[in-house]
Amino acid sequence: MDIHDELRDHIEHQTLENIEAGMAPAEARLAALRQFGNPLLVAEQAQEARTAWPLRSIERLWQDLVHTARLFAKAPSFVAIAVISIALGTGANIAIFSAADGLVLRPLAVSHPNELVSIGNQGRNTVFHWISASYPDYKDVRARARSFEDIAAYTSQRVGVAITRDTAPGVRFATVVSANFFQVMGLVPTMGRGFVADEDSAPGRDPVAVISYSTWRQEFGGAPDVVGRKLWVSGIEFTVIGVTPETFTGTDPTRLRQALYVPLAMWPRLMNAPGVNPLEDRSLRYLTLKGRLRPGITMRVAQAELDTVGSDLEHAYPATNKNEPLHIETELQYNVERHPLDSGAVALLSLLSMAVLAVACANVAGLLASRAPVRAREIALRLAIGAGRARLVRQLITESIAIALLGGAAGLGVGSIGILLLQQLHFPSDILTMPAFKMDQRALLFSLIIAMLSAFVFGLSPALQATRVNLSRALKNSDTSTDRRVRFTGRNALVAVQVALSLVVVTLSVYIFQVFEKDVVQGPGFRTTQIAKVTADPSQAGLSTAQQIDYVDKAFGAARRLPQAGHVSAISTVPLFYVQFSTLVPEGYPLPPGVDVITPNSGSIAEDYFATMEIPLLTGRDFRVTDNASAPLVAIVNEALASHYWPGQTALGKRLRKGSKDGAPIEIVGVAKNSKYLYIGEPTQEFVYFPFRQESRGELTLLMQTRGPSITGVAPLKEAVASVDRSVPLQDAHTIEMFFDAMARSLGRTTLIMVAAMGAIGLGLTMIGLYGLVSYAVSRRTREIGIRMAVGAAKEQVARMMLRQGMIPVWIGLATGSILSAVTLKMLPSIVPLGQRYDPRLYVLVLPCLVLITGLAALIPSNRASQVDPAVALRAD
Amino acid sequence: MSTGDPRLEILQGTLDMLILRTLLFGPAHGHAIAKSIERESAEALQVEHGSLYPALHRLVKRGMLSAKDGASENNRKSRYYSLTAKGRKCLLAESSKWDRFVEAISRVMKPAAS
Repeated sequence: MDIHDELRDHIEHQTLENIEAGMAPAEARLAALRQFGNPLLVAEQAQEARTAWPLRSIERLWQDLVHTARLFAKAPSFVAIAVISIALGTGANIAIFSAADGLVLRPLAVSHPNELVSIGNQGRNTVFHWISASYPDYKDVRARARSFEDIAAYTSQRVGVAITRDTAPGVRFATVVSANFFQVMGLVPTMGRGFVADEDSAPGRDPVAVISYSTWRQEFGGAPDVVGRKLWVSGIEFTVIGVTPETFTGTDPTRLRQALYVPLAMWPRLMNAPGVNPLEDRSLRYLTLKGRLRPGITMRVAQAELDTVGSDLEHAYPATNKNEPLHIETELQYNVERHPLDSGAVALLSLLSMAVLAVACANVAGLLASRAPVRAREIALRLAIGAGRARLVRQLITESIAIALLGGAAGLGVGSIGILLLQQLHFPSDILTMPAFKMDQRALLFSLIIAMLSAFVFGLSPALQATRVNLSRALKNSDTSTDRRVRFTGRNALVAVQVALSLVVVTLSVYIFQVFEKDVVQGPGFRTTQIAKVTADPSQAGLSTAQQIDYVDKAFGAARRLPQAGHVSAISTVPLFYVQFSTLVPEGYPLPPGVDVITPNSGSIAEDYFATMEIPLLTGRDFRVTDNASAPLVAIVNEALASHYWPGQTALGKRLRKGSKDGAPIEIVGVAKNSKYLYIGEPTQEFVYFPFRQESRGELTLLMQTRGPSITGVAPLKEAVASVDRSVPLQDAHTIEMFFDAMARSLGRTTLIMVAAMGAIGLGLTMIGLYGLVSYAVSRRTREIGIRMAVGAAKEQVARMMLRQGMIPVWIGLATGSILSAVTLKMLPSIVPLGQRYDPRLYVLVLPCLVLITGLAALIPSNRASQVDPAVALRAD
Repeated sequence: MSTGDPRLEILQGTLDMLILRTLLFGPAHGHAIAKSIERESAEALQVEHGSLYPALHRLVKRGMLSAKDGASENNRKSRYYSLTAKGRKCLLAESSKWDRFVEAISRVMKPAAS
């Protein structure tokens, strides 16, 4: 006997009693029913009283879900649009935040990475600023600053690595580290040990190395007896004493493949640069300093102490330390400064994706708001037949969560596509790498929460209003009309916001498109076809400077003998690969107070470089073979540097001083046309070329113009260069096409796809929003339209009226959006260092397009208004 | 619930006690329990059906009552509730608590009445 039988039985009893009291049977039954009230409600309550609560809530949840599914099935287009909106909004954010995580935000894989701080002197040039320190300054700071538990120092050094004496070495990055490096980082080697203080005390004495986990796996095949084995680093025999943990992928995991760690004391021997001693020279600020603060010490206290130490150093060593205060930075500051382009791009893309998410949320809000009247009727009905308020609210929450979760799940898919796109990026190099992009859970969570909140707030508030209706029945009749008008302007505002945000997103997309398109289509200012290249580093084969130059000359000879060869030359680092700086003082130019030197980008080149790369030499001459160590120092500068320091005059014959104002004079013998040096889309850079015979930098990338496809030149060039001296490590034998494609085109293309996707998504969602708004207005005003037509309004008039009113939020949105996007574009250079100034003509392109597209979105439903049949419309309701 | 009704609503929390008290005299079905409470109170108390059945089911779940299907006086199938040992014990505790409660309330209210 279940509860329903029991209640029926109760009513029977009551009926019988009523009959006994003298009522007619039919009347008696009615009275019993009336007295009892709502048997379904009682049954439900009794059932709930009986079930244990976890079971009960599961049962309720199930009921809510079933109800939700039924509702969704009844309004599939509503659900589809809401889910797609949330999916696109969250997906965009997931992709962008994952990029941000991979590029800038992910902390080092050390213990408590966020407690690390960086210390050093500030360096800067047009694009970059960074902090670094010299080794003598490091020793002083470490000895004197009491704010830190300890400070470690490290830098990267290119080396040739071979695991037997006879194998050809490969170029790798070694990290030269202070002995306390692993302690400060909180890393325990998985095998063997880290360094002891003694191993970093005598320069060049202790050739010991801790190898990275991947070196152990790849070079040593994961040999269990690797500790104690030998390793040849730049021709020096090292002993492996440990292996780093697998999780630790280096101090700059987003850029460098770090193969091994050696003590700083070995640095000068690995550098193999006569006359340069980074362990003694305070002006060589190559080291990154990372420390941990003592408990209770704040950044500000540490900075105050560093101020004192820094000014003491300035007084003690004015020649090298004047105007070189010490700074402290958090990890995030350090990362953002170190990778300004990535940080800027990430900031910009985050801005765009947030805007897209906002547009998506506005869409969901608009959809839910337009459903509110429908829901209000349903809710009123359910209240009337006895549903509890809490129960209804729970149902509405279930619906909101269901929409948000469905959207979030689909957003995962959209985000994955974005991440796949990022993962396609690769870096054509043996020593540099791309960050590992992966799904960022925080982004996922964040986007889901935003989506749920928007579904909640906008889905629940109209619904809650509806549940209150029953209590204040008096309010119901008088207030619904004004209530509706308020909601209507609310929706108008939502659409206006959408239009404004899409305008911002679209203008930014177009702007970024223009920047990249210009550099990719017009080229970076140097030849990007039919060049084969290979990088050699004779300094890593134990050769003296003179021997290195001799080696390079032989390599040129070998290359020129190849049948494919056209012009042959070389540069220390190929443009767009990575950067080298020089510290210089331009003679006759008054530097601003507090600035003693300039640090433009620079490169060492061989003769014929400009002809090979087809960079026009504007005035002066190319370097000659006679510009060697015994000849006066010379340099070629680019237009930007020449016009900055010698405006209105010729730079020819002007002099730069090396290192400081008392440094060796370098005469400028030529001015070259500006080109791109660091990345596609960069602002104009200042650049100085040195002849490699006067300024050798060890590594040199040989460039050979090829007759016919450049791929046919790569292997012969590599073999020709290798045949000169097999002990010289070679790397990165590629065609320039492949290199440029990976460095510029694919990067530019990926950025463009991302940005364009944001623009398209934002605009698409806005169209949906506007379409929804106008359709809603048409359906709500069918009656009014009917009357208008009945009294003689033409179809076109009605359609035009609806269109005009539908476009009101568009005009408002476009006006606000124009201001907003102008402000954003103005701010852009401070976010991303991009070359091209923004062009107001952009709006000539964007605004009419937006008007057209939104107009279309409003026109379609407006037209439906003209289809209203007055006879039908007036009879309805 | 109209306010013009001279009958009293059952105080919250006391319905359980009244049900237990009613069943002290033997098993009864829901309708009989309601009638009995109304009769015993000289029609002063009114039992809401909306609360009676949830209360019965709750008491069964807590082990105060047991429920059994049986034939009622006019040969209909009805569900009969009877007191369990636990229910009996609970009733004892509840009624002494109620006595003390009534005493305390009346002591407070008396001066106002005089």
